[in-house]
Amino acid sequence: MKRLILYILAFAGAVIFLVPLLWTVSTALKTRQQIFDMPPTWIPIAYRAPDSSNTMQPVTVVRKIKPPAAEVSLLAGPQLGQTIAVEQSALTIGNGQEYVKLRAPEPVPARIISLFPDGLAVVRFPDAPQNAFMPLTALQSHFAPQWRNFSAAWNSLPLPFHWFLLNTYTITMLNVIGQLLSCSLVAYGFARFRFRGRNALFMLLLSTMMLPAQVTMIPLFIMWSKTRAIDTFIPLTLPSFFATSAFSVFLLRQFFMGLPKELDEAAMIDGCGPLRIWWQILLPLSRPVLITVGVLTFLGSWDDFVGPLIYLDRLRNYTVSVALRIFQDQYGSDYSLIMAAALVHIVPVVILFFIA
Amino acid sequence: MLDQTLETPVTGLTPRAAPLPVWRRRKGRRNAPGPRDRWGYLFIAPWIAGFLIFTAGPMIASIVISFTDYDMKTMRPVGVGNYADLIWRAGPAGGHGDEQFYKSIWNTFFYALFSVPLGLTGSLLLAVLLNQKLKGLSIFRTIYYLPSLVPAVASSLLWIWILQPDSGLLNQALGWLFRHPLAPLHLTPPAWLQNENWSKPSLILMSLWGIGGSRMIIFLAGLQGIGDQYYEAARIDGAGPFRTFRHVTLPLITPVIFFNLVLGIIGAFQAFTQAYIMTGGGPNNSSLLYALLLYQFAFDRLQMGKASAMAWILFLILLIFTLIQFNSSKKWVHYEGADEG
Repeated sequence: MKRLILYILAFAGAVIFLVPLLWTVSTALKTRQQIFDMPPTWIPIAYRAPDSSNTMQPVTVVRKIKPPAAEVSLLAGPQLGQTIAVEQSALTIGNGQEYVKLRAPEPVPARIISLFPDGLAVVRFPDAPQNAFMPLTALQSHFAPQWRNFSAAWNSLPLPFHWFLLNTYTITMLNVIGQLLSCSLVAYGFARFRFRGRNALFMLLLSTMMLPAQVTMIPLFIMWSKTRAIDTFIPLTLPSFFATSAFSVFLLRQFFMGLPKELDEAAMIDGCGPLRIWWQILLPLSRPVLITVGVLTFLGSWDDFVGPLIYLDRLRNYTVSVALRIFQDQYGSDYSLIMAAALVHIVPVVILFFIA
Repeated sequence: MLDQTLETPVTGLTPRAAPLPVWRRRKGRRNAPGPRDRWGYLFIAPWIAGFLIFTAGPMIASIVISFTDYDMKTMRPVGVGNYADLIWRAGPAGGHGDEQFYKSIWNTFFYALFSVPLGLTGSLLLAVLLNQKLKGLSIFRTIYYLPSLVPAVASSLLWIWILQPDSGLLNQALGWLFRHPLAPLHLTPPAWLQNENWSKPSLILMSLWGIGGSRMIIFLAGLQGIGDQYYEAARIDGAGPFRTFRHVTLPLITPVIFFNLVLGIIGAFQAFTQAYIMTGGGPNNSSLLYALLLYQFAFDRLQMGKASAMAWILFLILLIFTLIQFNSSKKWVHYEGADEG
């Protein structure tokens, strides 16, 4: 009984957490009309004219061409009045009227222009001269994810999204490499050497975690603009090579201290210098914590908005997060496009999460 | 070249020169720095350089700038002018400080006051749930963790759409609920981000979506660190699940709660992206968070001096909060081993 309640709670929680994400995916795949459906619908659908295939259509035979074919004029259906050629075997006679069994035609897509509460809709068919007014139930609905929302979103800024993805990826990878190298080096220094002032320096390092970024934000901006580094990736990547992530240093140091010191000593006896001990002994043994630090740095850098917002000016240098901001300005109410673009930002992180 | 220098026995501990007795001696005096330990400075040098260039230097510069009027072109010393303008001098009536500044402080306190405790409680409850022996735990954990992976800009865009007053998912659900024949009250769903009274609750609500993230993982690690003997003792004493939680689990994870609380408050006071993307501070400054106003001062109005003064006021506020927490922690944070026996 108690376990049942726990399962219900866990399941309800999972639903609540997932709904916004599923809603994003669902919105990104819907037509512009469908996203405003009331009540909301989850499955992206599109409408078609009622199916006219495999139904018998009344016709008058215009003339018989070289058997076994005939030219007939349609008396009903969406192609009313048109003259088409059919095989004679498709013609049947019933109640003194000739019918033709049409092969399944291309379904005619229908676009809902407006929808009224009682289920009536103004519908436009591509070839029809005017809009039709009919109950929605008269139309055929089918599962139709609008993949082109993604291609539309991808190309709707002056530069395509892979440009921004590549920028973000470059910055992120430089940060990951920089933090991994510098933080592990510093952590090694703190973990394995007993120099004077070590503990005080380490406390200083930890206390920088509590320093609000706003305090250094403005002087750093001034510094980068005086060195003409604004609108380059330098302000967003160079600091990473100086072990600016105190938390990463802390994690790595804790891990290094857990590794037996005898390893270092054995290597030292074999003539290994301190730098080689770090590179060849400690780092290979620290895979799990290096992955953790790498993933955390990746997430933080991929997510970063304030940095690119402050330091990047031209669109060609934008990361995905600031490009999304421009996107929002231009396509504010086109939610299916915005959700498609947001997914472009989300998906790489989720993929990384499942790999790591 | 560098390698060669490193290969030379700095320590004097090549096998030939220094046989075992040297090791033994060093083991006996672990705290005495040897000559090899000077290498430590070299290894932490990147951080020291980084700290000086990217933290300490800018901090000093920031203090100086906060006492000037600086628009990236000309710098003019104004003494405590920026602080005075913000705290007591400016304002429509010629006094009482900057109206937006106080509004942003109020907004940020309001935001932190709800998002931090609610978030911590939520994270803790999720962690407790995931600490039970349920099947499919890893699936649940993944699902709870997923929202915290969503980048801030993307999740802001997502929530703008969910909180959209007319066709947003939340209001459609609420509308259905409120119009239900069995609903006791006939309420109308709020306009969320577009309403002065609801914009802050919207940001808080959105922040709660991420409670399954790193904070929950830290709680979970704390819970898993509690030894079985405590639960065993509680069971023998006849305590039910709620009393066990109240008197065993809760006291034992107070260090983790403390850690999450300190970092949570610091994080909440720096919240920026959501407000910037979702509301821009509106309507009527109701969601103007402190970090957003600071950004506007610095990069929209180019009042670098005032923005730096705001940064230092933020620093002081956070310092006071952190000190209060550290002081009060003696009363409510239990460290295992410290109060045993």
